[in-house]
Amino acid sequence: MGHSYSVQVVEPQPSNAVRAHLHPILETGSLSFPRGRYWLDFQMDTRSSGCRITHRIEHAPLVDRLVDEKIAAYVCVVSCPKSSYRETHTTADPIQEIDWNAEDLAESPMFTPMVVCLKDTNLVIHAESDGVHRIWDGQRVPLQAGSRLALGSVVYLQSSMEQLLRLELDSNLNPGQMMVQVDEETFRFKVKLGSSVYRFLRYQKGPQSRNVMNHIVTACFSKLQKEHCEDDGVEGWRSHRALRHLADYFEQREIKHWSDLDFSPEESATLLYPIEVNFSNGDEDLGELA
Amino acid sequence: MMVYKQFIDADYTRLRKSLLKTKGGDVQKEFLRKTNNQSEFLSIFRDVGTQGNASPSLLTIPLSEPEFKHPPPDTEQTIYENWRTLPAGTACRSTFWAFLTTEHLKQNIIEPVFLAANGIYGGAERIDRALSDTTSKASKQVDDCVRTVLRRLGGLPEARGNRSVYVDCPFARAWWRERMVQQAADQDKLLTRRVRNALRQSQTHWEKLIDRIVFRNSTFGARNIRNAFILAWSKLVQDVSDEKHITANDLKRLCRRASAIQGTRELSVLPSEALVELMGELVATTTQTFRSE
Repeated sequence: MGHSYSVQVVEPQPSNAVRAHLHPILETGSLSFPRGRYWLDFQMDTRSSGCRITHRIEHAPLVDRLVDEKIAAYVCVVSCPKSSYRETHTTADPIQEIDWNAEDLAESPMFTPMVVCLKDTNLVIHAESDGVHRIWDGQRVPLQAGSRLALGSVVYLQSSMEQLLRLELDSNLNPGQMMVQVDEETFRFKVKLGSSVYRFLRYQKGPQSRNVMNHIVTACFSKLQKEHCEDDGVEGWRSHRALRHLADYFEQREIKHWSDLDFSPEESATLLYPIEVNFSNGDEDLGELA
Repeated sequence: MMVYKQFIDADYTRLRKSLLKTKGGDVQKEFLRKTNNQSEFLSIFRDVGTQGNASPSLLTIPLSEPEFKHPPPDTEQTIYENWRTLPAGTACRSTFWAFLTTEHLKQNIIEPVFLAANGIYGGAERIDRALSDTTSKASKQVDDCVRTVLRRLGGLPEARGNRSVYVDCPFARAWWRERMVQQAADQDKLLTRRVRNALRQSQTHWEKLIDRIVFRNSTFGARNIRNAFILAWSKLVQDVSDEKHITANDLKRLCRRASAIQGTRELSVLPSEALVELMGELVATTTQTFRSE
């Protein structure tokens, strides 16, 4: 297993996407479960064709109870609209092993976590013990097979820069050389690397490899600034889902992005990935000499 | 891992962008002139690199222009059978279909002028009209013609997003359509004929459906929901004696109703039989509404 991520998929904040339902639902923007929270933990598979996810639901005992009674189950929908792919993975266990055939996907998959009723049922809500808003107290609610009891936001793991990079060995380059190309259809940066730098990044982890990555990320941002800064609403960088998500990622961190006039690739890159330096033998005094 | 041969994305995208840069400019006119001639047209792709290690087999029988533009059912079946093993992740890429189309051009299975055909005009006539136009609409005519060539070649994602491959490139459209026929009918011969007939109603119907599958993937992206919907819709098309009653807008409204149900319930967890029943009811009740309006 490779990297781990934890994403809060239901947050206590307003949302204009919330719908009216005949039953309480745990989702961002809904007041049904006032203290309810939903996290999704990802453990990525090194083969990039699978992952282990863990559904973590808190302060929503009604949802837990219906799963325990096998009326509901945890669901994770894996989708890739470009190749018209959408698969539903259902389990009674909060830990799910999910596999997909990488050849069926044209870009990194999106994950939509939820808890879904598997059979029709009626239940009477007890606000306190079910963790539900008092407005539902004593109400008899119908649940149909397919009714969503919890619905998390869509998770797209390519929203971080690392997910957009594809490192490739290029034997035509000098051992320490590199160049960056863009694959426009999947929107990924193809980072072509000479043999020694490729081996180094693949097998050595530590400050030096992170600094090389910083160099690469700066080159990628520079490419975005030069070739993808325009969008007229019809054509342009917003037509790439990956770039829209990356822009959101920048925005959340209040970092300027490539379509901003005063965008500076190295400034944004080092904000996201600060240069790591190790002082030794009094080198820290160097700054004071300047 | 087997990777089907295709154009290198950066090279092919650069070529498309350079062709679309100036509407009606010299680059576009030169491109259209070259489209009249096989070797000159293929020379345009000389600098576009390729990648992949598996060459898909080519069609062996030459196609006429109408047959290429709108392949009849048996030709679409042949196209799908020829590339049945193609993974979906490859079949949605314009780099793959554009490469495959140029391979067919090299073998004279099709001619480059076929790529410009649209509406009632043949490709050669359309190119000729665009290049000889001296009115104020000349630039647009040339640009439209260039865009048609690129769309037929392998789709034009710059203008029509991811669905372009599914709806604009005849080879890709045939592959995706026949794949959906096979998935929905599940080897039942009668159903296969019925579903194929429904999915081939018109280009507008096809585009509405693809719009839902690719742009609004949350309902019809799921294979079991899509199959159940297509089966119910194909029955409706069969039952209505005059097919013109089932317009593309009717299809759009049916899709919307199915999406509205999916908005409140995750239908993909339902067993296939329940889904078929649900979609059958949805189509029947919605159709009654159409009739009463």
